[in-house]
Amino acid sequence: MTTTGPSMPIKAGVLAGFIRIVLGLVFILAAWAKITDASTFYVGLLTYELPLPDLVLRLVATLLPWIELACGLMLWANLWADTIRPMVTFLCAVFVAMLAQAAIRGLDIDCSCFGAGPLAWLERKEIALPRALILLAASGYLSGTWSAAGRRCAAWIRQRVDQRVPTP
Amino acid sequence: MATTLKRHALRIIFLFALAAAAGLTADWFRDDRVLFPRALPVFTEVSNAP
Repeated sequence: MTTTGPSMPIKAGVLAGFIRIVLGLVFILAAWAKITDASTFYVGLLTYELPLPDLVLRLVATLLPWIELACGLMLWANLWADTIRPMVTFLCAVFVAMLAQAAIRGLDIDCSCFGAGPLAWLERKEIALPRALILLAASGYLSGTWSAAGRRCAAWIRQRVDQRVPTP
Repeated sequence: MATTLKRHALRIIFLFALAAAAGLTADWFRDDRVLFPRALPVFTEVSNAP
């Protein structure tokens, strides 16, 4: 049965398309802010106090913005969706892990994601982690990670329940 | 399965190579290089001592 009119539910495809455009926009804006001011991004990476060699941090500061830009453009163009969407989910998970470890260690830092431009308010530490979690949830929905994980969990529970049912 | 994984791996390698080419080129032409920092200016102390 299909319903029409104002009470028609939002179709999953429309929602996925909306998430794809918004995620792509966020990735492109974040990439552009880092590309235009790479040295500030590098200094921002240093404030995370990660146990990584300086060369690795410099490589990340040089390459990550361009990877983000490519991911954002490919999300918009809907190219190589089966590769790009899980990759975006992985990147979002890395961002969440970075921000979470900084919060756990009590580091008083900005996330260095959007530079010092008009989107600098998104960098505040009370906004950064929830924002990264929302992006992770959205990208996971887009890549089908959550539904695949849900199916696996349901199959695992069903298997356990079937094992417990006594055979007559 | 193996073919799919190979396809994903090739795409990711291609993306990283593209990002590396763009990133290294952009960094090379930047004034405040990140990966290849320019040599710091050498200051020589001028002494007026006799």
